[in-house]
Amino acid sequence: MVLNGFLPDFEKQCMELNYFKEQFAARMEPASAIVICRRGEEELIDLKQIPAPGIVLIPCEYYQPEAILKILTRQMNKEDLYLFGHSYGANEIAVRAAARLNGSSAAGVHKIEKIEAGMMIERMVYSNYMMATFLLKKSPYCIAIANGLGEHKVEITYPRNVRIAEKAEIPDFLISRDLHHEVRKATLAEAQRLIVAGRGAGNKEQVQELEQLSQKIHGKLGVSRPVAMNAWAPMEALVGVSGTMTKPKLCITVGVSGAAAFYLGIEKSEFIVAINKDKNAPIIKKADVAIIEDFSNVIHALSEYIEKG
Amino acid sequence: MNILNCFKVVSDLDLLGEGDWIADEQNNVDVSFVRTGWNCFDESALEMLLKLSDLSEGFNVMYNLSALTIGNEKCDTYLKTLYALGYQKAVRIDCENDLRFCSDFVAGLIAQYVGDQGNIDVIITGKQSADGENGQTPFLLAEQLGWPHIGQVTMIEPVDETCLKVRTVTDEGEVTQTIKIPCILSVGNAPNSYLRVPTLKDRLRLGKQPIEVRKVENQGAAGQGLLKLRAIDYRRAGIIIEGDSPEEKAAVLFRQYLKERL
Repeated sequence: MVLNGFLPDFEKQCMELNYFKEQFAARMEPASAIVICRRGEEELIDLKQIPAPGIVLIPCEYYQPEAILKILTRQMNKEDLYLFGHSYGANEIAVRAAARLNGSSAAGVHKIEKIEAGMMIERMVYSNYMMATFLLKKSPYCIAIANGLGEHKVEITYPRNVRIAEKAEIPDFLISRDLHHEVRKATLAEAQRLIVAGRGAGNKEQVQELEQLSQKIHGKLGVSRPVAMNAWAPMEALVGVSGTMTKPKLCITVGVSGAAAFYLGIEKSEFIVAINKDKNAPIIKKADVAIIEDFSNVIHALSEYIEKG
Repeated sequence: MNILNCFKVVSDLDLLGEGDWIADEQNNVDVSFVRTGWNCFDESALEMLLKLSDLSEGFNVMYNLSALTIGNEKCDTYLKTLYALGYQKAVRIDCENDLRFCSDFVAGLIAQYVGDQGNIDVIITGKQSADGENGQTPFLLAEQLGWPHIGQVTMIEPVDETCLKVRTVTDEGEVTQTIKIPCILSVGNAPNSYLRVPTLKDRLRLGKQPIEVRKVENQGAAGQGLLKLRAIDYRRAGIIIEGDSPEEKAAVLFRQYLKERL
């Protein structure tokens, strides 16, 4: 396992990788885990969640792929399988580490199976409308897992050999770096009630009205890609494969077409409502219930019913 | 500063119906009957360069923008649009191969072009394409050229002839970095980055410049180990709430489905 100790949800990352390993690589002998972490904070990393006999820590000033790759590839063995998380940074170092070691890589992987000819993997293609099976032939296999597959908590109590590798030095091409605001743990991912605005919401003001409704039901507002691209809502409200994967009890989509790349972000909702004036919009069949109407009158009426209880 | 944008023309996959997701014996899916468009992340990258060029005067830096795509002559319409928008050079690598899952081969073609030109300072791409969803080309290009890569770029600003300022969304947060060239930039979710539309006058004035077409010597891209494709079924009950008015439908929705869940 290769873990990113810079992420605010390190524990979740461990549980997701544990789940994937238990599901698809349980019979493989675990090797040392590698954790990339902030220099000087090596002691702060919670290693209890990492089921590996040994742990190598790679300290770095911040998560800089060029710097990390140089040290990481020295720790990797040609014959092994390496599991990475689903963050963008994890994808990058998985692909580039495999390229440097003449191995194979894939990102967004849902399933793996070791066979004699190599490693079979499944991942989504065609904007998430299809699942593809590939055979990777060259080891090491660097696999970045898909988001939202599952979590498995472990707690290791036996002693492990923990080693700190040499520091990953920031390369010269970076002249300056300013971090504007740090990412907090995603609140959207944990929301139990969600209202999601799509392109059909029409404009920024209507999206803001939907946000007010989301507050009335003690939920959060999410948006589809066109809404975020038009800056009707901040990019951090983006739901879908390239945004947040949610799993609310209730999800109400408003003016959302239902493209697969978006839908995956709400697929794990317990109950999905679609409000859309187009009866042929793909979201209608992907929802539990749907109202075919222009959304504004429905939302105003719904808002009143919610207020009255 | 010479900047090369590498983009892909893709089919609008959201226009395909449920029954259209059928793979033939060669694992091909017929998407030829829907309209094509800019790959969404590539479109953001193309617009980002135009915005950079707009800012250049105040910084006394000249940006020479080129655009490159790989495909057949159907891509030429897109390259002409880029000429009309102010790109100085449009290049098409003529290739009919199935490159859906061949990031390594695609990165190799771009690297070869960059090597042949010898004067490109910055390469910018989208982070992944809609059909293959490999998300690997910028990373592999960085490895093949030995250039640094910065991902998830949302904005580029001028500094001087040797540096750029880039804003990125990293896993840690939003970061602004000043970086030296040469480098590869890849673009993810960037707000307000739909590609502008050229005027008719610019289409007539600039859009007819010749497109450089390069032949591929090595047509050997293989299927990259693709074994099987299957459609994913996302369907749920899809019950449509009936009623005489929006208010009545909202009442049914609230009473029958929402009240217990709120």
